[in-house]
Amino acid sequence: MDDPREVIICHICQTPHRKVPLAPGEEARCSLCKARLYKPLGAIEREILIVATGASLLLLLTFLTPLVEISIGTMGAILTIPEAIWRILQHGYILVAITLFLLLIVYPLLLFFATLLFGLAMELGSKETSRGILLLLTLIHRWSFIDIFFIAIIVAMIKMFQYATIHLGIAFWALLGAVVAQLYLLYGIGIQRFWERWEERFEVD
Amino acid sequence: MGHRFCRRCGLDITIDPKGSLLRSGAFLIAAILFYLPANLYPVLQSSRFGLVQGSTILQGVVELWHEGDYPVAIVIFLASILVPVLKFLVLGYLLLSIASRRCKEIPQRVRLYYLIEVTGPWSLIDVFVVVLLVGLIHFQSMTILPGVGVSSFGLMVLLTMLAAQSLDVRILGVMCG
Repeated sequence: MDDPREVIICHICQTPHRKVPLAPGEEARCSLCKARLYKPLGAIEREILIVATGASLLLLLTFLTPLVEISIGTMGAILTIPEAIWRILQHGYILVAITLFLLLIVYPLLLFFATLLFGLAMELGSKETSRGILLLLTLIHRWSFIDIFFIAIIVAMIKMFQYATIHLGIAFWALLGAVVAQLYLLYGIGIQRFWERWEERFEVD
Repeated sequence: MGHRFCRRCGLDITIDPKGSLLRSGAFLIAAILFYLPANLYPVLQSSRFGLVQGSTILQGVVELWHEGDYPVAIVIFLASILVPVLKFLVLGYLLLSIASRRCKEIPQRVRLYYLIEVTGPWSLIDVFVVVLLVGLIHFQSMTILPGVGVSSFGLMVLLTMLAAQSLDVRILGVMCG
């Protein structure tokens, strides 16, 4: 087990395993905690590019169009995500507003744009650029909380359902699409597989 | 001791058990301190014709329960009240078990660690709900305002996440040789 390329350490329980060749469709699991270790990789660059492009556009749509419209009697209001954060800032909750801005706008945008750039850099064969972007993705991917925000919207709508008429805007559906894309990129494929594909593509020793 | 770097990404992977324990412990204590104002002060205030009334997270859960919104009440109770306490207990247990060099059930403790890391951010649901309600309800006769508790609550969740991320899970095994 001298060659580090032949060894894989379980990301959950840190148990080292020797890599063995697998047939398509098979996957290797940790002998101790049963977490997935690896599975045969295909060329995932195109897949990443398509999903990240779609997700970036959906996310831009999420921020630029109305999220939800409510009416209570003769009163009505339309809300976008940047507007919601702006209102928190107006009430003097600067720290909360900055945190929300980072978690709901900056990190999700960065996640999708960086994934898009990673896919492009891989397609173009740029080893160092793709490595740098992948490093950024590794550091930030846990800080995009659009999935939790989506559930929060549903909770808020249930809370108001009895008192108000609610119309879901374009941003709601765009956000749903972005959440699905994020789940696919982070859990369907996974950052670990991005790294494995990067190593395979550039034959890193 | 010399530093070691990942051959793939170049990040420093040197194991620093003492530093990891201290950082994680400091974040955990700070998070516990913020848990108190987060639950004692209102996270949401409603203003009707100038009359302002605040409600804490627990009051919100009770109100939802009485109104018959049982699934939402359960989600908010789990995410905002129970999960943070469980995270404190699990993180405290992990830190104490590492400090006392307890070498049994390492895989189980590693699984506990990943469980709190995955569930950690979900407590932010309540903060997000407050943001949405404040953004939507701002009429002349009725307005919803954020309460003082919302800052403490948000900080408590972020500090707990930082406490979990500062704990290098590898030291569970390293401390036992």
